Amino acid sequence: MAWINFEGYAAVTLLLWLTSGFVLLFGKNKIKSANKLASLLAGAGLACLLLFIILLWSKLERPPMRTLGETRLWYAFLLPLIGLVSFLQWKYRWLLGYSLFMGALFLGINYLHPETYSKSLMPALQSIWFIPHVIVYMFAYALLAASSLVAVKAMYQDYRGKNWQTLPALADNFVYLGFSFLTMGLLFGALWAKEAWGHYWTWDPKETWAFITWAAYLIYIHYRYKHLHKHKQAMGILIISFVLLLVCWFGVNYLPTAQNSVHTYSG
Amino acid sequence: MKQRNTWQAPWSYREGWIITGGLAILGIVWQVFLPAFKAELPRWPGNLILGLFFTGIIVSLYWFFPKSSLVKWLSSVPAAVTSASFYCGLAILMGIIPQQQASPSALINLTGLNQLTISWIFALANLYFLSSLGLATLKRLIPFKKKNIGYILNHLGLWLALTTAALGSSDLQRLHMNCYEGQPEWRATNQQGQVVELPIAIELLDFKIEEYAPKLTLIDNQTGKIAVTDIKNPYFSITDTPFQLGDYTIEMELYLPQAGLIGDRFERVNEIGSPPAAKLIVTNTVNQQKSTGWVSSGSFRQQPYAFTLNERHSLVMLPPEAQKYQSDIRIITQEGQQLSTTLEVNKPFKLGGWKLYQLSYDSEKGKWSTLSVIELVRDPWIPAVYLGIFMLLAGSLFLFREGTTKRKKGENHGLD
Repeated sequence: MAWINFEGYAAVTLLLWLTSGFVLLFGKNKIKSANKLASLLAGAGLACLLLFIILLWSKLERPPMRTLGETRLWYAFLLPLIGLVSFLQWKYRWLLGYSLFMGALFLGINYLHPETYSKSLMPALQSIWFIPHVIVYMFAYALLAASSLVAVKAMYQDYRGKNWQTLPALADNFVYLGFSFLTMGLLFGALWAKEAWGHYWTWDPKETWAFITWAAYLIYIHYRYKHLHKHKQAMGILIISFVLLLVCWFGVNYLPTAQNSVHTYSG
Repeated sequence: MKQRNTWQAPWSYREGWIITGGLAILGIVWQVFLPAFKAELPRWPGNLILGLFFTGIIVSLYWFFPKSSLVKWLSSVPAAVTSASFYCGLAILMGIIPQQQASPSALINLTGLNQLTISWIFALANLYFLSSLGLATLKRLIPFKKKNIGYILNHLGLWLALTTAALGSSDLQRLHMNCYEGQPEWRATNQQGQVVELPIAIELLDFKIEEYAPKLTLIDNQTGKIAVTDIKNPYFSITDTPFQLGDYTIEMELYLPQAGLIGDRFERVNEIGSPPAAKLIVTNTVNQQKSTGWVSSGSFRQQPYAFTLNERHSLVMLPPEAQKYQSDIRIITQEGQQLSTTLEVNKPFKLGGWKLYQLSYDSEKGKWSTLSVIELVRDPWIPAVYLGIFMLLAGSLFLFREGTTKRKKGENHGLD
């Protein structure tokens, strides 16, 4: 059986995104046509990656959402997608650039950590909840990553002594969208756990960290609600929240609690 | 602006952190000095009474003292942020310290941080969080305004789900029942290891497993570990042949799903415990040498059988992974009623207030297991928890709408 050539699709995608990044960076004199070209290139890269995901799905005969590497693949697709949609909507060139960079980075990680592409799917994962749970979570992670990009950009602008007062409002947009997906992912997980394991919440380490992540963004939203002008503190909370999110996604596997987790198959 | 003294109204973060710290110390001290007085909730109807009492206190506080600094503060953002941080901080401890097992650190055992969900500090954090959330909910619930629907769904939903989940935890029953084929069973074991007799009996009629095709891999004869580590996929399914593994091309000549070793070859047999076996043709791509040999995963009855390619490498077959397992069962009630059903992972069966789950089986025997472990779960509070969860799900749509609205600089979000 011929395995899908990930390197080939990744190379085409990376090349398209790289060119798109160049156009964003240097095409500043003819801004309108440059924007159009950059969007087209980024979109073509996305289409190439989507094609790979679809082929992978059909070859594996199961949704490619089981392993960490497979979730990274979705992330590499969704984050640039969000970057592109918000670029078309709000014309933030730097955001598209960074999201393409992040997507490329995750493709690169997958290149360095090749997948096992195992076809087997343990019975607990064979559920109608599997796809919505993972997709919604990946959307949430990608949106919240976008909000963190905004926060880092804001901190950098602040460091350079430039004006960044419009950025927190953009971060809010991403956080609200991301948090709404995060809530759905968490609750879909709970409803699924009841069907698969008999109880909706057992403080499994992955659940615990998912709750921590959720609570951290909850704190951000409330802080912003009350203190709309304390931008620096809010951006700080946002960056800490994303660190907690990363612990939930990857870090959990390295913690002493991981041995008891029902989510270890995703490692 | 004049500097506000601590405890001078209106309270803010400073008071919030002091209260959080005070509750944390109180919880730890309580745990250490009164370990016999456990943070356990009473069972039905005690938990319902407790829940009504708690709700009653919050509602009366809001009703009779809406202007008091305590009520104003508990329903404020600083209380929400500090109580959520308290809860979040405890969850971080829970996410780092392995739970429900003795810790090597005596301090952790003493303070109950290895059993946080039943510790006093966790109970107090819950109480603080739910009081704050409850009062914040009431502030927008009464008087009711249509524009507050999103807020109410999110806050009341969370409050309802958390409160009823906590109260209902003492009524939750999770029992394990070991069912052997052909033997009706009515005794189950609860989480404390006690035997419980049930008013129903379950008879396992048939236990079935569907398996994935077994996988092959190349191992190093010296270490017994996987030999090829630098390629994408060191495991290949039997169905993927022919494939390349290291310096070898592997083809399959014959596959026997159930086989027995006779002399130095395998034959198709139909016995309990006969593992899969395959006859492989292996070509060394370096020197073009061809060899033929057998591999078998082995089972609880038979030894695994490896194909030794040379002094360095052998091919082995891994035991097949379960794709699906299910139990055909007959349920017999005390009144003599009978009903048959099939339990499968992710497909539990509802019976009265109970839900029956396919939990596990004798994994050593695999598909020849005559044991099926069934879990019986009773959680009478679940409708209330689910109501909260569905309110939150509806509320998340309001947040979604919020996220798609572009704000102008300095404009407060329309969450209110």
